Amino acid sequence: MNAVVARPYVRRRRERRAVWLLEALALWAAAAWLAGAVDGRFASGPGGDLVAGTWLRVGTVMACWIGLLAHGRVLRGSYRAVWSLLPVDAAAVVRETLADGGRQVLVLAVAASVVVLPTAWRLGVAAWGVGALGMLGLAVASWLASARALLFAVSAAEDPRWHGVLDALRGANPRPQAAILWSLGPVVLGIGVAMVGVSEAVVAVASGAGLSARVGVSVVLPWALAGLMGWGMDGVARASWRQATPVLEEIRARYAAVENAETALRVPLDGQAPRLPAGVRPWFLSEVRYGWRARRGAVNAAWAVAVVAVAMGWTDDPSGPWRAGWVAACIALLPGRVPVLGAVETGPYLRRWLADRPARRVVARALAVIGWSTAPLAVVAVAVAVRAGSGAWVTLGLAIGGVVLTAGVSAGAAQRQALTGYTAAAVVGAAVALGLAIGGTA
Amino acid sequence: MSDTPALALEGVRRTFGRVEAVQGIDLAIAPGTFVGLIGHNGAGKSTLLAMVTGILRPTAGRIRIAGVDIHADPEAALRHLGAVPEEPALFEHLTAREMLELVVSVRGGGDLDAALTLAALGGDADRPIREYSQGMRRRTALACAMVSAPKVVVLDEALNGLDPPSAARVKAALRAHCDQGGTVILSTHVVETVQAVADRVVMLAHGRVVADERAQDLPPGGLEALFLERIGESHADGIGSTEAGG
Repeated sequence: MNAVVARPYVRRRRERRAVWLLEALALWAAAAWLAGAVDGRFASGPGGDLVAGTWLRVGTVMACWIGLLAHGRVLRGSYRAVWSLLPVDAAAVVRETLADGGRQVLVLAVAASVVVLPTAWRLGVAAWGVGALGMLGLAVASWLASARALLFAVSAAEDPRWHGVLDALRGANPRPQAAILWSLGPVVLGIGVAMVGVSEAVVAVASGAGLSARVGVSVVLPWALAGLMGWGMDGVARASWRQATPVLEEIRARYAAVENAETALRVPLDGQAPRLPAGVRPWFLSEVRYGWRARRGAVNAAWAVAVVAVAMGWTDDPSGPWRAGWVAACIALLPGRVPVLGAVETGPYLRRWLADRPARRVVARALAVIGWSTAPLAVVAVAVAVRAGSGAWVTLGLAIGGVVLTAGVSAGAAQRQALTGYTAAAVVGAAVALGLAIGGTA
Repeated sequence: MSDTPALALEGVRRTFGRVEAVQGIDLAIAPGTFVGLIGHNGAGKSTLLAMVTGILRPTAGRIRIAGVDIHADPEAALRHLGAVPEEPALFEHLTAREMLELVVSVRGGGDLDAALTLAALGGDADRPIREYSQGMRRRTALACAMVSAPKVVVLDEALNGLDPPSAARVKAALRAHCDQGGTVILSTHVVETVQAVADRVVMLAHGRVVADERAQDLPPGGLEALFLERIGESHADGIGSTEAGG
């Protein structure tokens, strides 16, 4: 049976090779950022704590990554829909999935070890080798433990004995979703604790303690943990893997019901429409509803820019309000792209059928962009006022100017469906504003 | 022929929040029967078939395939069941031939050549499924469901998107399957298809069975009249005369 299950994966492995590399690179980037390792500073730090902390962070990021991988491959895998309709042995499917994904996990573990390679120069190859061996064991343990936890979550979701706990944790999520979401928490915690042992073993070897019993235990423990997590996996798979199909379908159905209900809900700025002239009102509603329902990420990006602006202005330096102002002038750049995208997606036939009213639409689009930007802009102005007092007028002036200019450009570009033109203008505008902000230029 | 129904539903209910998609359905379908399942959009046909195939669990009630409870022992029940869901589930990177070989291996036997003939893919049977059109994918899924001649074949809108020759070939294969003792449950909007090939017509409305008739008892055109009588004019747009209906 295992051979039967394995066959479809043959070509897939080849297809996924490029993805492995991307994931390994992404892991490196995330870990390097966390460890502050980009310029190798951690390797020249004062000693053990910094090195141990770096190994711990990298190992924890790796465990999280592997947990998500297990969720994608073991629980939700794209092949579930096919296997669910065939009388295949669930244990064979899980076994093959773990073997297939296990190769990816090993690549991740090697990549994680490479991230901390500079410790080999600083502390010696033996210390790095001990850490790499422990980390490899923890990667395997993490993979098997995550799979086991996710499969257990499926059973727990339908077990009345767990309902009380899940109801306390789930918030607005369906009970099965809460079980799945929380199941990986204890795994990451456990792997993190084991990683503390590994990172301390690295420091112990580096400090000349040699291969003591404690070091040995720290390196062997992850492999013992991996063996424990793999033990009896067939039984767990047979008990839960097939059961996961209706459980996941249940989750999908619950979220679909919520999604349907959401389309009936009001969106931010809906309430402002009655204040506008009757001719502009329907176009304004069309813009804000499209923006919020289809391009919410771009609309909310204004808040991210606002946070950066506040950070730039939160200083006693007199240039603070100017810096904050130049950044805040960019608040509307991403929301401003939304009307242009909407215009491009509408298409010429639909615009004609909708009896487009150019002047009213231009006004409505500009107002929508201003509306999305107003609250983040106000937050920046208040924050700078708290820190710099009357200097906030500078910030406010620059921000308002930037938002109004962006709204006008956006509305004009939308009318011409000039997405490329708008994007180019926005990039240039952002570059100029950021250059002025970094320079603290008045 | 065994007394055990090929498919038995006992008090099957399914709710989604406050919506009762399926409201207590009892059905016993004898081996060798071709059942046409019809109903308006949202009548509960797909939900019912998802429960029959084990994809969705009923809120209450039991479903047995050849005497085996699909939710209590899915692996055993699936040995008797071939299914084509509304969205065919296939390994995209395999060719149709490889996919059929896989199904034959898993099920422990089957007529590969007959299945390839049913799929009518010609040389395309050796191309990856991901390159197939919607109709080719559906024909491949139908062939996978039929290749091992399971006792029960469940098809959810499986004839949609098939060209007329393919649809005719599939209908003939399904009819032949029933004549050899197999059972087919075909969900569709197309009343002519049901009246032409089915032995029994089960009509759903708002999650309930509103008609359960022998097809041979209906006069020509009688099924559409029955639909309008039992379900009403308001849902008449939910039925069609071609397989393109969604």
